Parts: sequence; C-alpha cells; structure tokens
Amino acid sequence: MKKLITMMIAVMIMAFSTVSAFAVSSPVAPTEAPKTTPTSVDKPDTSGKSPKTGSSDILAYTMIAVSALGCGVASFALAKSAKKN
Amino acid sequence: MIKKRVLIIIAIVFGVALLGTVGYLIWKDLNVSDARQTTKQIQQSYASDLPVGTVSNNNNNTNPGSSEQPKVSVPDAPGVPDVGDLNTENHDIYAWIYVPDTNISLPVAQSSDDDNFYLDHDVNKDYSFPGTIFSQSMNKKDFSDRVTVLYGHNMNDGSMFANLHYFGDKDFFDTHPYFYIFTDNRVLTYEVISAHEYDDRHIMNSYDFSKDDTFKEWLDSAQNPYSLYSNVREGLQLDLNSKIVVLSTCLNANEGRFLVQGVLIQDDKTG
Repeated sequence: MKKLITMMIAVMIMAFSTVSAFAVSSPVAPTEAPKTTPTSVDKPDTSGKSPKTGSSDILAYTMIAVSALGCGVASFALAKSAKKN
Repeated sequence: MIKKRVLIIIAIVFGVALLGTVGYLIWKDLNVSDARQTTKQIQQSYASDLPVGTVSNNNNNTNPGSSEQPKVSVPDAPGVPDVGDLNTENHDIYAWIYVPDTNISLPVAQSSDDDNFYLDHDVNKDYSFPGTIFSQSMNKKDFSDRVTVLYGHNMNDGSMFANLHYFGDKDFFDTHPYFYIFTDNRVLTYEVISAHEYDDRHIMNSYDFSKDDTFKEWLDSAQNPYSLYSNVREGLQLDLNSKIVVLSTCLNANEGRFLVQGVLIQDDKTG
C-alpha cells in the first residue's frame, strides 16, 4: 500500500513538472527554451551550454598525482616482496 | 608469484599513465607556446600600431559616463588593423578586437562550417589549444545583432580572453570604459556596461533577442547582474536600439562564465 501511494505521488510530481505554470525559473536570469536558429553551417552549435573556454590543468595534475602514487606504492610493494624472498 | 605479476602490471599501468599525462602537458605547453608566437606575428603584421599588454600609466583614463570621446578614434587613429588583408588569408576572419591595456588585440573569426571550430584552431586553421576569438553563425558578422557574443579562452598564460578578468577589478573597470572592434571598413567603439560572473548557459541559444521583452530583460540584467562579483557602469542609457557585444570567457574555477558586456556608442567608417 505504501509503495502504491509513493508511486502515485511520484507520478503526480512528474506530471506537474511538465506543466510550465509550475516550472521554477532560474535564480540567475529568466530562461527560455533553446530556439533553433537557422544557420548555414554544417555543424551548428545547438547546445544549451556555452562553449567551454577554460584552460584548467587540474585533471592532468590529478592524474599525475594518482599515477605517481599508484606507481610508487606498487614499486614499494614489489621491492618489499623481493626483499622477503 | 601471481601477486608479484599483478604488482608489476599495476606499476607499469600507472607508469604509462604518468608518462602519458606528463607528455600531454609538455605537448600542450609547446602548442600554447606556438600559438603565442603565431598571435605575436599576426599582431606585428596586421596591427603593429595597437599597443599590447598592461600599461601601468593608463592611457584610456576617461571618466565613466562623461561625454569625452575615446582615445582611439577614426579615421585619424593609427593602428587600425588590416582586417581586409587578414580576410584574404582566411575568409573566416572578419574583425579585430582591441581592449586597451590588456593582451587583447586579436583577430575575430567565424567558421562557415563548424560553430566551434575556432575553439581549438588558430587563424591558420591549425589545431591550437588557445584557439581564436570567435563568434558563431547565429550572429551576423556586421555586429548589427542586438546581442553578439564573442568567445575566447581563459588561458593561464594571460593570452586570448584571460585579461577580461581585469574588469573584475573595480579600479580597472572604472578607468577602462571602452573596447573596440575593427572590421574591414569600420571601427566600432563599445562602452563597457558591466563585468560579471554568469552561469554556463549558451546565451544565443537560450534567448530569443528578436522579442523586445526578452531583449529588455537582458539589458536590465546587464545593468543589474545577479552575480555577487560584478562591476557596473552607472548612468548608461540602454534601449531597444542598443547593440550589445558580450565578451565571454571561463572563470578561473568552476563551471560558470565571466562576461564583459559593452554597448555600441560609436560606429565610424575607415578609409
């Protein structure tokens, strides 16, 4: 019974969310549905997100740190096991 | 024995990942360095008279909101870039943007094939991490749209649109009221309305600026940004005939964008 009620509430929430009158506007600025601008380019940008113009190397440096750590730990364990033998 | 093999494999995998990432960073650094050289050559060849870089004694010290004309005026001003020649080299290049006292003295391109081509290609159409300053096909190349968005990378070395972040500084913002866009036969002078953080939505795909209400809302938000970190020039009169250029780059951290918005205040013909 509880499951049925939960399911019904979930369905109601989903149904309400599709009604524009219940839509919550962005706190930053009003948003409209993406408009399809007719363009002549072969690859138009139809994304809802602005082109990414950052230059962060955080991912690369994280990768270096993780790799160095993994490589170091594995080498240390290898050395330790070689010593034991 | 099996444990030893597993450890060797793990060490090799991490070692390869380490070398690969270091190699990528070296390659990227070389690519950025090449791009810097290319930009320098283009600046020297096509816009040698426009000063590039931060100048401590501000040469554009016009009082905000005053009627004093910008220092760079046409047709007498030296340093109007040869956009026509650049366009002959690459038909996608149609303008030059100049922001005084920054490194921003750069060609502007719009690809006729791929809206995001110049996100990672230089003016010679070679792969380049910093890319080129560009607009997309939803904007006309004559800057006659109500809102035109120009994109540029926020490069760690201060190139491309990284110096836009100077406008986040109140003193810089107050003492640098203008930026300029040169086309083949025009100089467009823009007065900076505001500089602020924004989310990462695609502005041109999210708003239909042909609707007066939408454009009016945009103008209002340009003068009253929702961002906590914003600088705004007081007293600017904007209306439905205003032509806005938005300069967009990434933030130094997180997913948003940093926008510098300018309104066209002067449109002069050259030559």
